[in-house]
Amino acid sequence: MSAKSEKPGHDGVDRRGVLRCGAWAGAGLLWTMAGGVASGTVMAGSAHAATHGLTFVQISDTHIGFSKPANPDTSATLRQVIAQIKALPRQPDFIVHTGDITHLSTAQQFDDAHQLLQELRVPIHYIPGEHDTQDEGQGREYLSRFGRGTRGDGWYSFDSHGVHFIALVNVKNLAPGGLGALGQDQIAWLRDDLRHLRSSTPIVVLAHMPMWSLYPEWGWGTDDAAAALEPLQRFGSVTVLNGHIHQIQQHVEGNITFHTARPTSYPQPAPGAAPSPGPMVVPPEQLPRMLGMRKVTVVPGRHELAVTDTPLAS
Amino acid sequence: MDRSTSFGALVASALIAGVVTICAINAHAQAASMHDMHNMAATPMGTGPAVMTNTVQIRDFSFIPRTIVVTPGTTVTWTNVDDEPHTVTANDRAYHSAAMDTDQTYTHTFATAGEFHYFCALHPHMTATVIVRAPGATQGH
Repeated sequence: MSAKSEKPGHDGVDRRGVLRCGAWAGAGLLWTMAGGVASGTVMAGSAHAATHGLTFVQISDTHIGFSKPANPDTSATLRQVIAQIKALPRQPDFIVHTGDITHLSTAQQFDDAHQLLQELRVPIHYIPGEHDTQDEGQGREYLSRFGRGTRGDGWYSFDSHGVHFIALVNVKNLAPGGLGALGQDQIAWLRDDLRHLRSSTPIVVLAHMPMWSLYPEWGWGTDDAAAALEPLQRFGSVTVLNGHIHQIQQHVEGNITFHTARPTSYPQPAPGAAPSPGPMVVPPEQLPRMLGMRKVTVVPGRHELAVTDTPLAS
Repeated sequence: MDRSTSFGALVASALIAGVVTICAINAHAQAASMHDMHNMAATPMGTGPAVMTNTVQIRDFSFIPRTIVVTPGTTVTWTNVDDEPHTVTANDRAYHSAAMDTDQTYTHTFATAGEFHYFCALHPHMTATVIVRAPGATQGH
């Protein structure tokens, strides 16, 4: 993502990018170039970069309550990811959870998830996944526990370190035959929310389902994403973080960079690689490589965000 | 001679068409018995061959068979065999199941004739149809 906004030097080499890449590497982070995502555990020494700006961690798809062969104990793997976050040299300013907290929206599963996640001891910003809105009240359990003070079905925005965060809900009122959906009310709110912001404000959008047409055959997309992204086009830096598909994918559209995250629960197949997107069973030693968390660092004066995906085991 | 040849060709085409249709049904609904084959109903656009049965399996993110035909008063049973929860939700939300986990079932009784479209509220690209028709009613579409 830095490649598209940097002017190459006379020799065609993006000097600032190279320097930055080196700086990040020295600080213990692997810089992501052109939307690529570095993986691997590189925690030691990253405090230097982190002290200059905002650092937050994204976790996704904890699916507390799931116990099928693809991962018989999703609480245990979430505990491991929590330990991984707590072992960071500097604790993140906050965590974002991009949905599917529970597997079946039961009160017990919400209680268990809350019990586990409060171990993190930093603020957590949530959005619901479609698995979190299957209670009799169609999302009331989620809203009463994790969505207090939000609007509509649970959308909201907040600011931190000069970055504007927008948390969207694209898992409610889904139409037969359709994909994820935001709805007119939420899009109208979003337009209004963005109106007062300067175009230089870095924007981070959180959503559960992908906000681009990743694989519509499996429902991996959002029907009215274009209407939501249109008012974001004037901003210099827009990063969209989502979950739902239980694997890392990246995509760039103009000024907007999209990243889907690893889950903490179980993997799903690559688009079209199986008869259906159901939970994928892998050999036990492979599972920790397919689960993990994402650290995002924003340094003032820099356009792009440093995104580092770290699996539970490499 | 010409007339009988073309008649023969017509019969052959019809037979081939029949074989193709039966293959399609076998692919879509292994549960359907041979007895059901002659009861094939007209098919709404894009929903696959209709099968007379009151049981639907949810497998690989699909309702199988995707279109069923029942008589008024029939109770239809859905069973989810995926490791992923699914729902049975009427397009107009007139009835809906909870999220069904693996091997869980849901039943709904269709009292009146009509064409009832439903989907999975978790994975809305999963759509299917129940056609409720009195015995002997014409298959008009």
